[in-house]
Amino acid sequence: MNTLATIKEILNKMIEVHERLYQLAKEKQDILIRGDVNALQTNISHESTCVEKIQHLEQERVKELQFYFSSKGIESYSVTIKDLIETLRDSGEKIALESRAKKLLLLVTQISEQNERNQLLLQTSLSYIQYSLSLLIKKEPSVGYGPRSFVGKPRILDARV
Amino acid sequence: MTSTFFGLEIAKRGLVAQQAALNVTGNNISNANTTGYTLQRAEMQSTSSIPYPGLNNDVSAGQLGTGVEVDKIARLRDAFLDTQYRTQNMNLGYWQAKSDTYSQIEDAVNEPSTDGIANAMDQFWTGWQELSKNPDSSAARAVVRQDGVTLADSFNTLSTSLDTMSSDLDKQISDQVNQINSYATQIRDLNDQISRIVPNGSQPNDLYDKRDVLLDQLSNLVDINVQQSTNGMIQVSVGNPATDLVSDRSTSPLSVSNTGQVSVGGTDVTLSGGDLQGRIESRYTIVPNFKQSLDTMVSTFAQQVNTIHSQGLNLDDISNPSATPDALPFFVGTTAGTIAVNPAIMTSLNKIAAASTPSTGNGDNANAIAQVKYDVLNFNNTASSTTDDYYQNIVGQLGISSQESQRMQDNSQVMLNQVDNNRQSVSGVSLDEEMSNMIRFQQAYNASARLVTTMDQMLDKVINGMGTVGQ
Repeated sequence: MNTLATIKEILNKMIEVHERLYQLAKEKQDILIRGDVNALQTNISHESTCVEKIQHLEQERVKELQFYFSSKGIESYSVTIKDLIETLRDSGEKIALESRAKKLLLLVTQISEQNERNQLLLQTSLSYIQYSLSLLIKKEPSVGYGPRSFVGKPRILDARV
Repeated sequence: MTSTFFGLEIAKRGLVAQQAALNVTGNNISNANTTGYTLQRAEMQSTSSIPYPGLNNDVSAGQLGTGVEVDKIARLRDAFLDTQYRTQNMNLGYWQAKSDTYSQIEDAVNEPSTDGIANAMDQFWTGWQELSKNPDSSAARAVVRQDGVTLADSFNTLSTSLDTMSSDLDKQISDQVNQINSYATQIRDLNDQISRIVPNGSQPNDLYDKRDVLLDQLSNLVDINVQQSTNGMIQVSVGNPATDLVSDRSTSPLSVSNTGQVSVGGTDVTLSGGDLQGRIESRYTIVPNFKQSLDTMVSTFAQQVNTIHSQGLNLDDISNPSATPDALPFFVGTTAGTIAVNPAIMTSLNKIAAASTPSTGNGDNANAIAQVKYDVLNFNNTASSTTDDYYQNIVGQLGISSQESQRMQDNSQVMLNQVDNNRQSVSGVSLDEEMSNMIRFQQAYNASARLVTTMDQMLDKVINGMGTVGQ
């Protein structure tokens, strides 16, 4: 089952890259707590490499699954690992694929939780920066009269357009 | 034109100012490890120049500076970061309290395990299954009775644990209310002391620090809003609508009624976070709801078992066919705390109704009871499912809520660390910085002292050396 072995290989690689992404997300949390901007930029560039790899692997996975389904003569619109598992007879293969899929799902959940946490940290930092800046920016005069008047957005740089 | 001792006066002012700045630096260094200490800085300012503009001025050059003085001792603290810290602290307290409660309930429920209710229920159904195969075996009957007792005991234990948890929470809530009121009193006292010092133009920095530490601790318990008032005092308001807990020199007591309603000085408020709110929600919502679900499960399934059991015939009915059947319920008590095996069955195994027809070998009723495991029951109009599914559902919900509380607690802790880091970078003492400041002030002091010597030598020349020709 050449295609099956390649599919397993792809899943393995995906798990590896996701683990690396999870590591980066945890490091990002420490960087955000410290407030180290340079380290943050390095972290982001590593993350984007990982994301590219994941996208590439995902495309490969879809391709391999389509190839597998068509070679088996199965018409399927969806190309999910779940469908693949259902079509297998050999329980050993089934278990191998299921365990990998579960691990991947767990990693994805962990990464999304960690990302949410990082987002909250970023929000706190940004609100502090916003507050500090607002102490320095002058108030804009309101434009218009009466109830339709509004105050323009505060600008840091004087710009004449 | 300046006076004779003008230079000496400038040098003296320099000495005094640098000495004061050095003392402040020394204070910072000594307090480097004090919790809640805020960095202090001596702010120096030039004293007014001479001559003052007027009609009779001399014609000497410009305005001459007259030296330096320490204007005030400033406290480097960012109020915004304090607000952020207190918000995160409040969230942390809230989620800590809730995840505490959830993990205690999880411990009491003790699933999955061999000691939990799920296992006891399985044993119960299995016992009836065995009895249906050997209805006249007293060993099988004893097993069924024992399984019933174990199941009832499991329910009783869990219910008792929940009750204990409730009374513990009551105690914790009252402890926290006392704590909050004590903090409020201390803040009021500090307000009082501060308000006596500030009108004199001084900054009571150590009192401010003490008050900020109290505010941080208070923010863990309730959601507070701090407003600056006159003379350095603050107003601390709590909840929604914002009611003053501490207002300048007066406090309003906070109390929690026995229905979980928080009130400050008689006004009802709703808290949006904090440890106290977490405990109140646990005491009046989380634990009672779980207990209610448990009671519903017990009453519904026991009722089903009892109905079928009372329709069957026990050994006494079969041996005495002319008398009316006993029609006993298997369980007595309708809540998790009161459920027990019928005392009549406890005294005599013969009272277990295993048969549907008057024959000792008939175990159809026992079989019907064993089938209750698969019956879809209506649980108080909130759910229709089998007993197992219902129980799994409430335990599953408990697990999900517990996991979420844990996750939010971790999030709050992480964010608290970040804000604290920021706060420390603004207000914390950096020994390197203080050391280099020490060198600055010390050298400035040395230079001023040198100036004194110079002025002294010059004056000596003027007083003792001028006009002594040829000596």
